[in-house]
Amino acid sequence: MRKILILMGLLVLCAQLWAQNKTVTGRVTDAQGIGIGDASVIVKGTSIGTTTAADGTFTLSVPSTATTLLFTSVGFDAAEFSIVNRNTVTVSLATAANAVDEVIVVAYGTARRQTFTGSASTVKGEDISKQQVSNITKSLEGLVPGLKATAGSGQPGSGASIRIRGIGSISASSAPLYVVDGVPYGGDISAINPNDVESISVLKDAASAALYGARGSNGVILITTKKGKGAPRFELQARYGVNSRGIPEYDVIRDPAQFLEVYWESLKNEAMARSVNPLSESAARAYASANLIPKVGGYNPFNVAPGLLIDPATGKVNPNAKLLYQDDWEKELFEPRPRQEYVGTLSGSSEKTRYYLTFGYLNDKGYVIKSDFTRVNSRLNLEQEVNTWLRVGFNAAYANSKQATTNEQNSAYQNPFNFTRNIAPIYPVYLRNAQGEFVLGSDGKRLYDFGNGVMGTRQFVATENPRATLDYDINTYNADNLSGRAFAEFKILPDLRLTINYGMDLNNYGEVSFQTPLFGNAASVSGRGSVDRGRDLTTNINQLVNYNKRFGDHNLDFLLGHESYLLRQEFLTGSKENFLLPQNPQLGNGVSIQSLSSSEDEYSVEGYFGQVKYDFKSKYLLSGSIRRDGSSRFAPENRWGTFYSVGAGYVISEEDFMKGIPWINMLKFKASYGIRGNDAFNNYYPYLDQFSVVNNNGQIGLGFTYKGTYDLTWEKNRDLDIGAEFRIFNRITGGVTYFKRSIYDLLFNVPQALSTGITSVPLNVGNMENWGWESEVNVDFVRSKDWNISLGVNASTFQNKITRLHEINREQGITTGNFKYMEGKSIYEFYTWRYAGVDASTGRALFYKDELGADNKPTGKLLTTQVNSEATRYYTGKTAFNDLFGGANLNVRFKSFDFSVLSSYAIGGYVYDNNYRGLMYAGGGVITTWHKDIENRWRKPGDVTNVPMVLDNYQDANSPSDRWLISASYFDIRNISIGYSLPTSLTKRVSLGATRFYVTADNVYMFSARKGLDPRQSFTGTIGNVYSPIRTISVGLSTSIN
Amino acid sequence: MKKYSLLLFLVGSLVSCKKSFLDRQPSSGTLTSAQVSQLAASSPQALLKLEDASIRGIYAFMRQYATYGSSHDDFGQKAVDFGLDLMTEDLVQTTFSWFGYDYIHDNRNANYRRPTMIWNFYYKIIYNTNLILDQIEPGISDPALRAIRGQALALRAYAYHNLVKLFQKTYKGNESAKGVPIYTSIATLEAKPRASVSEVYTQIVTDINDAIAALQGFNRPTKELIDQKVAYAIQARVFLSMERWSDAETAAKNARQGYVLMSPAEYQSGFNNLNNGEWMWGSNIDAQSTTIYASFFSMIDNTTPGYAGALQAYILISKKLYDAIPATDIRKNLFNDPAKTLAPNLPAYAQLKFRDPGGFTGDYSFFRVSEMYLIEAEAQARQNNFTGAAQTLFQVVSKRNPAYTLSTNTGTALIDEILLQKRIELWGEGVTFYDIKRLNMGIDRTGSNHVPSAVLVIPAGDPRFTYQIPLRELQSNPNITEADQNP
Repeated sequence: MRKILILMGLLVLCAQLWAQNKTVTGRVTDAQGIGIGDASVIVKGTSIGTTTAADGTFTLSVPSTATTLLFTSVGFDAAEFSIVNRNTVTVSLATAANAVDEVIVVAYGTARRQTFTGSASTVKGEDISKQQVSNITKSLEGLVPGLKATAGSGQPGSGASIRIRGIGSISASSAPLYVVDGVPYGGDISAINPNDVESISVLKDAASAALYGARGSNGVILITTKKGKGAPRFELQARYGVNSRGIPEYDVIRDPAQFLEVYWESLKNEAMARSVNPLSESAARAYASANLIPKVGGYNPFNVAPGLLIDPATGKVNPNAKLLYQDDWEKELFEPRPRQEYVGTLSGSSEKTRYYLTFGYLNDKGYVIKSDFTRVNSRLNLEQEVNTWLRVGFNAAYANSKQATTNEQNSAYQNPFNFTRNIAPIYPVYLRNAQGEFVLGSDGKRLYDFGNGVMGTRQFVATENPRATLDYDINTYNADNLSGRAFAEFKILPDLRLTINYGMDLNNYGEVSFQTPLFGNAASVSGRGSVDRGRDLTTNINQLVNYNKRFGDHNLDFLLGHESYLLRQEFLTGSKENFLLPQNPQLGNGVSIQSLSSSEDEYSVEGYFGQVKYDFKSKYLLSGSIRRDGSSRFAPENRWGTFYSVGAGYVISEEDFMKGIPWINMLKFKASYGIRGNDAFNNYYPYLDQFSVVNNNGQIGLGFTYKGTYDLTWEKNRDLDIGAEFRIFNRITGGVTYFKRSIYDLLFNVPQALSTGITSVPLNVGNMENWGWESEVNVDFVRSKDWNISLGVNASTFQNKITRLHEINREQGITTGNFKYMEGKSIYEFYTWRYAGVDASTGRALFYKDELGADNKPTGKLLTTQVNSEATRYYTGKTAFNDLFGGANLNVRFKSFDFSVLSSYAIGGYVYDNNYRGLMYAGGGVITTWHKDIENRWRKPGDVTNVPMVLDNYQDANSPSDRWLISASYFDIRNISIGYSLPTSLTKRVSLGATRFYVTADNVYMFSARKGLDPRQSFTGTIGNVYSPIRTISVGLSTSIN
Repeated sequence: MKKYSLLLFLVGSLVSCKKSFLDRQPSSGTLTSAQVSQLAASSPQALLKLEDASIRGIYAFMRQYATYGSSHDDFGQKAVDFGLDLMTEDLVQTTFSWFGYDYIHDNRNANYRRPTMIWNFYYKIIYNTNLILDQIEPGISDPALRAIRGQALALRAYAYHNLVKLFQKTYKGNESAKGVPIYTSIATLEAKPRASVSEVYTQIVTDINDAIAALQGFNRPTKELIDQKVAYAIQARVFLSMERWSDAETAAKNARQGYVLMSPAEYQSGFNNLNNGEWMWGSNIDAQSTTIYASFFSMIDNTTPGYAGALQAYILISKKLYDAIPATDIRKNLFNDPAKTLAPNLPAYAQLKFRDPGGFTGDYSFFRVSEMYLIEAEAQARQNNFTGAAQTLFQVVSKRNPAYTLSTNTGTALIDEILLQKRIELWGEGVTFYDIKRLNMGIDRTGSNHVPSAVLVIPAGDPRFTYQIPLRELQSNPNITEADQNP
């Protein structure tokens, strides 16, 4: 009765399945009797099985014909146990002599960790799904040595950028290749539910990734989705929480009086500094008091007349003045909002069939109002052994996602971060009358202030009010991702297999952007809207022949393959002005066509490859691979490239002379070398000149848009990888690796003299090197009946150097923003002006410049100048690369309680804090607020400070310089989870499987060099107004019925 | 056995895809050179269509948003014109906005956006004209293709003329100074050194003469295209720069044939319509071609909700110039009066000359025929034909000011009068700055209504009147070094 109540109607199906089976329960322990979690329990001769809970217990439904269970666990010898006539078993496993025989997913197959010669890291699905990310790419920071991730945008659904082992290219992509279930993935990563992920393998070196020759140059992220295993099981997970802002705002002036006093001083200083007819100090003070309010556009939030607001003698706000109003823009645009997520999964396996069926729902509302992500996804993964020589599988995933997006264009006025960060505290959200009271509309609602002359002319984004337009403006991105994988595996001979994999990813998406006709910047044209529709279809087919043979102690593994990949992109876009309904963005609601266009593009790659792996007694390891790839990006003559790798390993712990050292369980040295290719250029036809059709008032115009280079071919990456892996005391595992990536024939958009009419030309020119160390250690401190405590720490470094540039750039280098590419220099070493502090007598900013000798060459002596444009730019010796980065992850279990912390860190390196630079301006122009550091400004001759005077329109006060570089070090507590699992004795009585309640928090706290600064925004150390990360605190329940 | 036949089949499936699997072309959106040459070779009609599209592509580019980078002060030719006008003493920008640094003469350095945008803009035009000129040989007999060749030559002359005027001092007296690099073909990408000013002018004169010949008999379908009279107008500006007065007089006279000057009513209708009888060459802006906020009318029109109208970076006429306009002159009505009776909601002296018809669809004018009268008048006066000059001047000014009487001035007084009329007549049309440089004048913004921080006195010949060669050019052009840079 109780069972029925709990299961309700849902389990009818499962109940039927039960009837044919018997249930075996038991516990798996080590020699000391301590439970082994995550051990695999399989009915021998079938794929039916399960894994043990943290305390070693398991429950498995087995066919009544089953006779033997097979127990395996990493670090232990396998064991078999008869279940004839028994329903409970307790098995004790012996510690394995060679303990690290984990099976990992690698290119086109799997490998045993011990005999693998490449560098691959794996991440368990649970470490991903415990983080409340809507996009898997955001979960990897700190978990994988050598992998660096940006924080990305906090916009729910958006992803992070990932770099594996440094910066792989200058003009082509440096992003890794994503492969889902053995086939390169063409869909949207956010369509994959993190809960569906069994594991992620990150392939880093040539030996592990060269098989993807064509596109493996920047590393490969292999995502493996879950498959059914064991008795039928219905799992349910629910999580509900609250999203709020994870990183606070910079320390900006939010006090109207303080703001006005600083601006008053800026005006006073301007009047005295005029080149023609400057005012005396007293006249300037009077001028500033009289002009302050007009200069800020007429906004006076105080109850005294504008001219009397600031006392010219003191520069202070009149003590009798009372503040009439002040609105908090942040409160109006940001608020804590809910996140909820539910997943239901039916999985299991029988002798010949494995199935996994899941359905997930996520509703993630960002703390910026109208930034939501809703995803409904389902996945079916089915595998069937048809007969002794044929196995087929099918894996289909569908996800529908809806995203309401926030404008994150750095300087866009509608960007809520740009707006709230910079708006001066005197500007209100709502319209006020002379008494400072709200002005109500005919409907009784508060009217908004658009800064468009009603109260005054806001000297910052006039005519816009992001709060007002929020209700009417629409920015959405909807996508349907359909992803299918199918395979057929033929066992032709006992050792010979042929597999055909077919993958298809379809991403159908639509984007709507609409600015209301009611008010805001599109009011003048009665609204503006655009609708885009796109369809990306990728198909990928590979045929693999595997031959695996053991001759005594020799183990040989051959692979031959062929693969073809085709991407087809279709896009349609249209925009109109003049809309009728204020909240209907559809083009049918508008009349004046602004643009209408569509396009189709195709890109294809084809490759042939082979691989040999050999090991002798799992002790001496050799591997080699070769791949020949053709890409449609290059001309037929230059299309094909050959890539290869060789690897070797030596498991010294297998040697007899090492057997006497009992605490060394495993010690392996490995090295690999190879060449990988990259064709991920930002143009599909870079070998051809390109034109585009433009509308010249109904007549065809043709514009030259791209200068191609016919001889263009693959960018190549020469990789060296040397490392060691170990397991000692049966408790400590780890590894250390040195890598060097030498990139040559860079796909490089070489800037041309603008006078030639060509901005840049793609050339295979230039060399670059990345090198560094990766290390990780995982320690099981305590592993007892009541306690499990383990800690994993990883630390990596990478450095970068450009070793060759095109000869026309060799002398001068290539200056882009804050960087200058020069031979011998790091790609991201900041190259900028050097700040020399403040001239104590004038209050002006000083910059260094070279003294020039009679020959017009620098003499080596430095001078200073107040004019930034006369100053010299220098290499600062500071790069955007961290000296060290990584993560630390703690897992603790005490009886039924579990506790875990994920963290990431970086030490060293610099970021260029452009947000702070904007907040330290001298006043004037577009009027915005200041960072509180402006309190340290120079005020009178003799003041010694680092902050120049405020002075209306004085550009050089915050001109670009190394003054804006700040340490990129940080420590981020990414996730803390605390859980409680119900005891098995209880759950069994109500027919439940493992059941856990938990509280989990993401983006808990980040320590950085400046409040408000998130140094992880980009790889280039550039800081902008992006959606800052979301802190999510949730409660959750996971349970299963079996 | 069945298993082995299956194996054979599957191994067969390992063979390659079709050879064409890796041949991909865009279906639309972008055209590759292969597709273009195929079209060109397919028929004479197709070739003509292609060349016609190529020349129209240049005209479209001239009014395009973001020709270099992506900021709202880049909308092609009128952005160049507007920036230059703000560098004179005749325009006032009341609050800081786009072009604010041009207004305070702090936007000329090598690493700044403005010189980079202008340099890139004209060299992109030159590249595209060279693309056409490489394809249509000089002696082409087909009249349509010959006309396209003529337009390309005229555009090239126009682009080089503006470049050399902005990146070096005026022609006269600086003939041997470093001008700008000259490219007349796209056959090579090799970057060239700065040619001398006289070499650049030689190229310009050759091009514009050839253009005039090639455009003989060309009847243009719209005033967006250059015809022979526009080519004469470009020639008139070139000869004016070179102080070839007699040639300038003839060219200006040739250029203005057939045009009628505006009536007073037309004159006050907003300077926004390409069909205006006085407009010689311009760009038609409609709902599709508008660049919205990043547009000339957004910047200059105080009555439309753009940067000037909504963000209230009002554009005014300098009080000094306003006061120089007689009360009976209709051009005085193009600006708000000091008592603000014309436009009570706008500041005094606010410009009302350029008014957008709505939705930022005001057309752009590149050449207006009254300039030709004024060039002709100056050229006549420079040749001491004072009677002729006064007569020519009278033809324009009497249309604007019914009370105007034939000038009795001679010599410098007459020339000064012509130049003042030119400043009034072509206010905001991108002409005055070139005259300041050509005539080696300074600017003096004192005693007027300029905002305090922009009250500047810049002496004649000041380096601020000449842009620096963009850093971006220096960095990639081995033949132009810091030593070749303008001061």
